[in-house]
Amino acid sequence: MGVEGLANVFLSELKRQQRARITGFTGRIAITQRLMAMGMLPGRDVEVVQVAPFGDPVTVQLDSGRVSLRRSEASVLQVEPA
Amino acid sequence: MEATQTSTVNEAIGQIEIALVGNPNTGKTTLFNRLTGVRQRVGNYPGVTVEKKAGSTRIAGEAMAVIDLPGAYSLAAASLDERVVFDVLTGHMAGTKKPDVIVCVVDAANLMRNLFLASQISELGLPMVIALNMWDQARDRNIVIDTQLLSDRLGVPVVPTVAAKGEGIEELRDAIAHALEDETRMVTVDWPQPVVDADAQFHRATDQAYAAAERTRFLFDIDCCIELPAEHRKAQTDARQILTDNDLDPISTEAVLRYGFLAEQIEGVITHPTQRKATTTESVDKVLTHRFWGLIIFVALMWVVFQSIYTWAGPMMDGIDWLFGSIGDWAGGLLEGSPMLQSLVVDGVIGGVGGVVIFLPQILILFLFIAILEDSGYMARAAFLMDKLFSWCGLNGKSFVPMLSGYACAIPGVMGARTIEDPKARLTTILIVPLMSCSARLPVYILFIGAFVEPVHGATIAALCLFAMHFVGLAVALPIAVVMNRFILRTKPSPFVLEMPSYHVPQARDVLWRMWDRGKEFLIRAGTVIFAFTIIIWALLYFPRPADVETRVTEQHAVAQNITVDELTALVETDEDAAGLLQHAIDSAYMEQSYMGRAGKAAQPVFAPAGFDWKTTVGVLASFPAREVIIATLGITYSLGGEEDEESDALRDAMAASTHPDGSPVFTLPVVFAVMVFFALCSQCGATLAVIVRELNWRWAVFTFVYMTVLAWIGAVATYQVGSMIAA
Repeated sequence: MGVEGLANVFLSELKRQQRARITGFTGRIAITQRLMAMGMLPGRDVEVVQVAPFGDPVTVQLDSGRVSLRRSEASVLQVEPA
Repeated sequence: MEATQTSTVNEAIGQIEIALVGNPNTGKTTLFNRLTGVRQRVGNYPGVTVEKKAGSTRIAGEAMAVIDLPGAYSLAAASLDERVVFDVLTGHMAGTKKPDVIVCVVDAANLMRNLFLASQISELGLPMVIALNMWDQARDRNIVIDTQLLSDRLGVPVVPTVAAKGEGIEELRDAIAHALEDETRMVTVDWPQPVVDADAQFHRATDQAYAAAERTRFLFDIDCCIELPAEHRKAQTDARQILTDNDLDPISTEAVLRYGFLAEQIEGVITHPTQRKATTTESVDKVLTHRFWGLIIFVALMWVVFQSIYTWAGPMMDGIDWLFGSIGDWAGGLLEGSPMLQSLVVDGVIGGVGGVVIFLPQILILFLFIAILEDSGYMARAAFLMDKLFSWCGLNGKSFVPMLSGYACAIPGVMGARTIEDPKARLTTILIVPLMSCSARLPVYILFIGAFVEPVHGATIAALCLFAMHFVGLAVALPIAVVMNRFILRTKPSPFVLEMPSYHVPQARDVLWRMWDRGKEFLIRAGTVIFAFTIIIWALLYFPRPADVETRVTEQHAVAQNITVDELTALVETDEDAAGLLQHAIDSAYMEQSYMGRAGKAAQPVFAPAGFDWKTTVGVLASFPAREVIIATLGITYSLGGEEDEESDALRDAMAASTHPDGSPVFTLPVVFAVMVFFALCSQCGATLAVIVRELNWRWAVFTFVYMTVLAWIGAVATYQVGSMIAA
């Protein structure tokens, strides 16, 4: 996968136990700002730790905290899988 | 009482106001309870349905007011709760004084993220204290924080606390006194030049209309829910242009710079364990959010919650029923001489108060569980597990508990919707909870299924019908939620971003406080409305009361038995059965000509397409304040007296035998199901509407009443018409 391909991976596409580094953001501004206020900034590492029984939402580990969000919301963050 | 006095004194002498702020799940409310003890009261902020918790405490020998602000992650208000925090802190909330000192409650184990809000608040320039709460959990996770160094860096007192155990509370009081005396203000972000320029430009262009903290919000919050006056929009665009020109993206600037600044401040202050081991919470979560076991445990827990509201509340409710029945009998005996006063006191006043108090057990039990589920941290997991099932129709995972409790009673369900932060999902949930088949609908189903389905089709079919009736409301509710979200509630959706807090053992005092608050609030606020309703309905059923009705019925009765009126009067004196029969006939005749009875007859054509006769129509109308009244009303209209219950053979027989003037039976199967569908969907509960007025406003209560009643009529007509076609 080339650099261009990498830029198009979103947090919403990660599988359980997959780690990634946040690289950018795109999409709904209110949600982006909310996630960034909670510390999900470019350069930070995240891991999808849980996927709900019906496939959505997902829980993301960020430092020592865990935040659950819907995939539609997770799709505002671009990531680079580890 | 004491709390009210404090608040008056407060405003009079300008008492010092302490505001507790912090992220959700930081134990802020527990800390508030520790500081204020019993000296607290719960109300609402004007115009919004956000809870206002206020109380008082003594610091350095002086009584001070404390306010517990809703949990917030950021001042960039994404929710109503956060908007309230911003308005209170900036002094724009009517009826709430701008605080003199702020206690920022911070989760010690999530220091950096929690300091984000503290840093935003620092721009308000108010004295501040930081409480590093849940200190014990951070310690258990080997997170070491140098509080002295942190305090030096931030410029405010930093106090480690364990609110749940009452540790650090005295130190916190001292720190508040110190903060007030020395006006300790938290260090503000050292913004780079472009931000300073943009801010200065905005400040100038708006004629210095806004304080620093407000300007920060207008500069950075793109989708700000704080309305900027139109004449200042250009200034905002221009200021943002300065950021863009300097390669700063307005969307990310605040978060990137603020976190960058905070990282410098806590450098060397906090030491994380080198080897991060799984916390207890993470291990427990492996089971509780597991895609199989997590669901099993969830269902089991919800079953316990439901059972307890549905079944355990029963004996308490029977007890309340019995108590008010006894009081009614006793009062009725005292007022034997004046029938109108007797009826007003017994059926109106005592019945009305009893009709309010009867809901208390279910409310207390539900809030016992809600408090435990929330304080333990499980509620977030439940929402996580269930979200997908509800998100498609505009609800969210937290709608589950209110909807489930709606199956026992809509009142605790509507009140329980407070746990939903997203205002839109909360509103939708409140509007559909009354459609859940509550326990008051059960007697209606039992009466009709027992009288008309079971004798003909057997017990198995009857049980199936009973089961199916419980899904009618739910089946209608979800599409209704979709329609409301798409076409009626045109507000912005809030993000479903939910923190998974660490698990805690709930504190008994917090849980009891919550139950007490809710119970008290229901009695005072909703209770008065329900009581007024009851009196009005009593009057509509009692008046007019011409004496000739009694004379006429007595005469008819005498004629029917081939005796004179005097002989009948003599017979009634000695024969209790005869007296009962006569009294029931009189009651029935009075009801038929009461305002309610006349309305029922007048409204019958409206219900004719659903196959209802006038007696059923009167029953339906009289049941609008409380659907369970239908049984007693039918008992009276069928001249059996108001004491018949849904298991009564006499009532079943009378209804089965009832015919139209042409001799055809009134209750055919299509009519029976039409009646049941009507009761399943109709808004026949004044108490629920009173609670909706309380939780939202009267407009939404009227809306609920209208939409449910229209829906019920459509459902009943459709059932009757389709049923008649099948039967024919």
